[in-house]
Amino acid sequence: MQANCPAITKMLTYRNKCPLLLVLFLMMMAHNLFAQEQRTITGRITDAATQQPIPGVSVSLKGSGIGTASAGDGTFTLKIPAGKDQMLTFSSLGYASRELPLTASNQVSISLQASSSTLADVVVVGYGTQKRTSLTGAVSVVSAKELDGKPVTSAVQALQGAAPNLIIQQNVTEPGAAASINVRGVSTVNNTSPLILVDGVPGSLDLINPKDIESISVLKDAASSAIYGSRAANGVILVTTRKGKLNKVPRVTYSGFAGWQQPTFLVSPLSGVDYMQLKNEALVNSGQSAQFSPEQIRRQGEKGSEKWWMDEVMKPAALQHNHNLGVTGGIGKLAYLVSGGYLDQNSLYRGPGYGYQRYNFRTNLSTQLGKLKLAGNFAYARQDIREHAYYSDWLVSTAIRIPRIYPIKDSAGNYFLAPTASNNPLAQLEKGGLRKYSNGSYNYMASAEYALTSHLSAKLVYGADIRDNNMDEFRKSIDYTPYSGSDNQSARTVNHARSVQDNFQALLNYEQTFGKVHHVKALLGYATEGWKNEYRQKRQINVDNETGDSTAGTSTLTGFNDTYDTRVDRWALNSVFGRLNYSYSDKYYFEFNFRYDESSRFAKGNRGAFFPSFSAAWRITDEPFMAGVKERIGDLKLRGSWGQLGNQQILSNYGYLNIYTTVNNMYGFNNLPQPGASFAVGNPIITWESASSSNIGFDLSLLDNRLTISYDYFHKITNDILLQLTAPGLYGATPAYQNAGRVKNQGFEVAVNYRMKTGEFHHTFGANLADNLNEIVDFRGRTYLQEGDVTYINKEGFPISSYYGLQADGFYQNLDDIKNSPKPTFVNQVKPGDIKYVDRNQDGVIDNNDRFVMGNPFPRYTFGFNYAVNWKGFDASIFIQGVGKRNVYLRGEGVEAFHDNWDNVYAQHIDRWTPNNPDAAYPRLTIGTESVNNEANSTFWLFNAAYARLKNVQLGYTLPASLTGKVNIEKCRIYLTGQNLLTVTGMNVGLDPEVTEFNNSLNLNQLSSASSGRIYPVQKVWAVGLDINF
Amino acid sequence: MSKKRYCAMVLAAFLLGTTACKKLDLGPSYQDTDLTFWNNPEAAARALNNCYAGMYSEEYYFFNESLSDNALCSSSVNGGETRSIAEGAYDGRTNRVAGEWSYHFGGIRNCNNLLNNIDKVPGLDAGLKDRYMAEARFIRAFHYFQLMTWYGDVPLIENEISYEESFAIGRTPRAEILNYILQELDAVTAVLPLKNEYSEADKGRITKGAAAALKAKVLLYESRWDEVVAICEQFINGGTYGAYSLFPDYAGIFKPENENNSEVILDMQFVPVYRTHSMQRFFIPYTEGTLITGMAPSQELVDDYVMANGKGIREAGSGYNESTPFQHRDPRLEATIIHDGSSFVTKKGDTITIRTAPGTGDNAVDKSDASHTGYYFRKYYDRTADGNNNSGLNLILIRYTDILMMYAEAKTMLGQMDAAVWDKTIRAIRQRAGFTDPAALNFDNYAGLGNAGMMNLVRRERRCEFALESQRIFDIRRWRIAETVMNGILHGMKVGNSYLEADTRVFNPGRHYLWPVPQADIDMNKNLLPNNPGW
Repeated sequence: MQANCPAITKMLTYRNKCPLLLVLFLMMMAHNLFAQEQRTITGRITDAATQQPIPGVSVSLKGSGIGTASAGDGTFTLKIPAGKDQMLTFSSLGYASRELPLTASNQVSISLQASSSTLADVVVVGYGTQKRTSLTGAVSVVSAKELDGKPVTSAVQALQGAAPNLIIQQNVTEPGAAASINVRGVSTVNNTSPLILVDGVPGSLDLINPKDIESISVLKDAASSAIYGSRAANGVILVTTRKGKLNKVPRVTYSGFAGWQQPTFLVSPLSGVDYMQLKNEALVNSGQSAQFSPEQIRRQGEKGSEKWWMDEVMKPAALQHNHNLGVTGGIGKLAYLVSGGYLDQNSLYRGPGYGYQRYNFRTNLSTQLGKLKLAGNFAYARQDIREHAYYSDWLVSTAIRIPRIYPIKDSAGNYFLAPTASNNPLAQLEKGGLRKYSNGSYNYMASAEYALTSHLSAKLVYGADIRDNNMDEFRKSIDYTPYSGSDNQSARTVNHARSVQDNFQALLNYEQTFGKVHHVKALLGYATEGWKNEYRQKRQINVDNETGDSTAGTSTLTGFNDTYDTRVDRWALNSVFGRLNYSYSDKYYFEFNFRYDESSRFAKGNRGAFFPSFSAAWRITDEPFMAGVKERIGDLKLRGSWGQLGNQQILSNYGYLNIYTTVNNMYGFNNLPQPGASFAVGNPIITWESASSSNIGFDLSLLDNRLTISYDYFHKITNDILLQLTAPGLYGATPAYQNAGRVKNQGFEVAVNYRMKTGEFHHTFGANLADNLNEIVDFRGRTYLQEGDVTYINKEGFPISSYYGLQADGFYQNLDDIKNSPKPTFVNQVKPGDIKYVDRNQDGVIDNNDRFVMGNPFPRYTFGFNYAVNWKGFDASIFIQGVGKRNVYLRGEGVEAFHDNWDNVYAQHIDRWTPNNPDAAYPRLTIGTESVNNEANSTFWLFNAAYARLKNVQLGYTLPASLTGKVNIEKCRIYLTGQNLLTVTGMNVGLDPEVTEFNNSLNLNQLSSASSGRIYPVQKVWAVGLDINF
Repeated sequence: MSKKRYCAMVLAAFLLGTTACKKLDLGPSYQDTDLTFWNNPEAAARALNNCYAGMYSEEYYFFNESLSDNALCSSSVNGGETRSIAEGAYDGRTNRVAGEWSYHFGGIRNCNNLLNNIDKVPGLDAGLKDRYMAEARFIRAFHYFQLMTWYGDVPLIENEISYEESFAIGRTPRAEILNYILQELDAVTAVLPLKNEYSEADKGRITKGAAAALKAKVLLYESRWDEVVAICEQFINGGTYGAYSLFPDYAGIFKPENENNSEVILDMQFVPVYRTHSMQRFFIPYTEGTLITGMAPSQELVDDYVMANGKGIREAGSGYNESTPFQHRDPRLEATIIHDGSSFVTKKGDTITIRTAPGTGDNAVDKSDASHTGYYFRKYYDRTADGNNNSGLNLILIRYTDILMMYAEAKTMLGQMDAAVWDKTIRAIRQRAGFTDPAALNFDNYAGLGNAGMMNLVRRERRCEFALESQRIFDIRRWRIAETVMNGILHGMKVGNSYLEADTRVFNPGRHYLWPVPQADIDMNKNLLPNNPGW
């Protein structure tokens, strides 16, 4: 009977035309069902290129749930029921999956192609998967391999530079802090975070164990992300976790690393004597008398400099280690994966055990019961953060500005209070209490898929992401005796928040090939999703300074943001969506997507929106007339797409309503608090932001797939941007959001991968480069200026949140120079050595009207480069990542000497203007009001933050299988790895070029003080790691 | 096959059918929307309390002092960059100049919001409603008084304007704003209760007296002396506006235990722990404020306090000795200012001596974060403030002494200062302050001063009585003496043979008597042009 199989398979193709054959088929099916015969297939799997055995390949009988995995020597044994028309599937991470029809032979030998640079692998897309060959949109895939071996604390950090136009930035670098993620730049002034889905359910890249990730798809263009409609305008990131495998024997993998983090200080402080001399000079330059006498300076010189306070509050190195254990296997037809991870990152701050710990646990289960496929994933992550009870901003700003003539503790061991500081950062770290976060996250996904026919299946998915976040901040009163300092009130804030985001999806999938060449796939779905956050807080002052408990003098603060009972916020979305794919002869591909969403964030009538997209691809080298080209050069696919996407992520969940907020202590009469209500203006007619996005690109595969090149160009117009447009002060309120803006964003992405072999050396090269440039096209003719230490502008024709200021033009060299130059109106006088500005409007004075748009704070020409080489058991890789163009405006004590009458002055200020040093890098030293001219917003403080950073280096050795095989170890690799080892940048004023004051949007309401240097330093990490599979 | 298809469709329909849609009409659980808020009987009171809370800023109240020659702001950022303003180095972007404008228009919108919606509030007693409206209209008039004083012509907004309107509305001439303020104050004076007609729990609300006193002050700033006299006489001679009297202890007026005392006419109310300000940290001795001393009294202010015998320190026969400058002085000097050698009771209750001479410790003038003049303020120091100097002490905007001083000034300007007026005003005020020397108290000693001399005396009296009470900056501007007192060096204490030069002030009379309309508003609304002279 087995011998007949190929013929039957052939006949079956025509079964619809031939009732007789159909009857025959059904008879055979019936026969199969009752046959209990078993056969045992054995085989060996090798790498097509290296001919080396591949362990751990998942082998299964298609459609049955029966499977196993290959052993260390690439062999496998699989018992299957005898049957007809059977197909084995082989899949493994890093290799293109293959299917093999079973023949009469029980021996199978198969080779797999490494998939890192082939077009054949499967890519996870919205609500499904697609072969890479058939992709019509712009999707970047990051495989687990690219995350491996990097001593990072979250998957986000490992993604930096891994995919073009996936832009990762950080404005807080403390242990446990989240990074911001951006896809293809900014096209709105609102939230630009992409939608992040873990196995189809909303999740977080900060919480997931990087070791659980199998692949990450970054959906960039409208075609690939429109199926997520309302939330896709900023791109979609799909994380797929590893699956269980039906191994006979449970397979265990361990991976871990341990290493040291070191702070990278870029500011260098001056010696005590240098500080005193420069301070005197600044004072005298400012018309004040010198502070230090020659005698004092001489004595300081003899005594030598004190230690810099930054070195006193930071340890030279702190431990970081990470361990992961995973088991995969099968119990009957149930394939399972169980994994656990532990991360421990100590803080560089001195003090009682500050640091970050994360525990991850995951179980992924799946089974195939005939036509029913069930899967369930459960992940738990717990974050414990212990940090000082203050803000790093304040702590670091004090530590970096105290000159090295003051010790951090006096000779009697008391914490010293230096002038210009009423607190001591070391005291705050050691005696100031503790802020603890303990956050639990539960991520569930359950799905059931039933094959209604061989072409049609229905699937239900339910997922939930539950976060339990707890914070307990206990700030102790610090006794600075014999000095008088602040921090002398104990306070405790305890809050709890529980958010549930749940998601139900019902999907119908259809797939059919007609006449061999017409391949049709369709998807229709319905989803409903909601978010609910319940939170409460208690804030007390004058608590017991040892226990933090309330005591006799304790008061509970009752302000709106102090103490409150449970509050609830929600939003919800109901959606219908669908996709239609058609391909002809694997040469022409068409795709249509749509989604209709209704959101609670808008008033009835403005809630719904329809988001369509179209895309097409043409594998031009598969045309007969290109056969020669394909043979000689390679495979070329052209792609194009257009679609509309939405964004509803504005700060307020209820922006269409006027909101009245009642607080208990708005005012008081006769010492009794009185409730009062303030109001925020709403706008009932707001609706979605919608982005029209076009993309064209190509995928080129050359030299037998060893060289692949992928290119995309995109152009996106976001309309109806929800803006809290500025209003004149006389409006008297913060204006409501309105759909008012239009922003254009365009750019490109190129990714090149190359594999080669020289002798025993296997090399892989990967490089990517991307650009994005946004421009405000329409802002209702209004210009929004945010004036301050840094002035930002939103203006038609310029990028969002551009820097705005005067154009600096060297220094005034002498009095004649001052006399002959336009006079600044905002100061009473300028002196030689002050910054000179350009009179751009040529009206003879320097004033606000001379300001211009001077820089774009968002990174452009972001790039990543990696090179890896294997030689026998050895492997080495380097990964370089950087930004080709970005402006950053630095301000405050980070760069200005004697900012705000403080004592900060650094090595770069030595090269200041004096009559004898006219070509200085820094203007004459001044202090206080005398600095007004030089501290004006100008290009002088605008820096080129382009950089290239040696992000990761690895050197590994895999023990020979012949050796490890004896102790049943499939693979054992040890490696040395380093992170952030070297940075090349032209920004030599002491701040990290990667640092930005912005978070995940260019939102001006949430700026951090990173650009003034008030930031926990970026860490350099050295670690050793171990990976063992057995 | 068709059966299977049928099954599939049934199943699909079932799946979609069982999936409940999420509800989309969601609102916050802890806030109201405009549909629900005004239905609450408490809504009017709550909205009004919001108006009260935004009537005036404690930061402006204190840092106004450093805009004048009474004090130095030593930081370039504190108080909304008051230091730069005092130095004449500012424009329409300067924090305080831009902020004060929108602060008052925000306050005006709060009042307009209440006035526009109060009719919706169910079950509100008609009398109470009238009173609430009068309180809100008073606060609105107060905002206009401030706006007019700083900016001259300003937009007159009596409704909640739309977003679009805010880009088009122009400025109303100052004279019309003035009339509006006076009319509004007359209207609300008729409605508001007297001080004693409020219950104990309502102490601190705006009274008939407050409205009348504010009107007197508005008129004073206009030099409409006759009208000032008329209002003040009603206060002094009878209970038309309520019963007010001088609190017997000058220093006690500003202490927490004497809040709402007999001379308070209008104040900003604070509540310990629950509604506090943290301003004293900027001006009390560094070791107690534990933050960089942002503001410190000037030598010029110290010098203006007369001797106990009523003579100015530079007057012949004053008995002033530069080496013991604080002996035999106006008792209000010690009550207001802390100098080298002053005694001070800390929050913990320890009595300490404050040393400010160079080299004497953390409060010394040579410490860069301590006072740059060698003086600190004592007035408004609240010993009961918490560890972070958050204080629940009320800040007085108008007190009965001001009625007396306005009366004295108006009478003097009318050439009508006589023994009777003197005794009711300067003498009573000095006696209460602790003067005992008849030389300082008896009108006879001053009868020969002449009008100009008496004017100077009244002005000096006003400066010393009200130091740190947000008066001086407005007085030097209405007296048009700013270009004299705000040009040149501001001094600190004497060190060695000379007085410290703490700051250099610049005041250009062609431009600085009015602040510019904020640059941001000008950028968005060209109808606000032309800007004020010189800007």
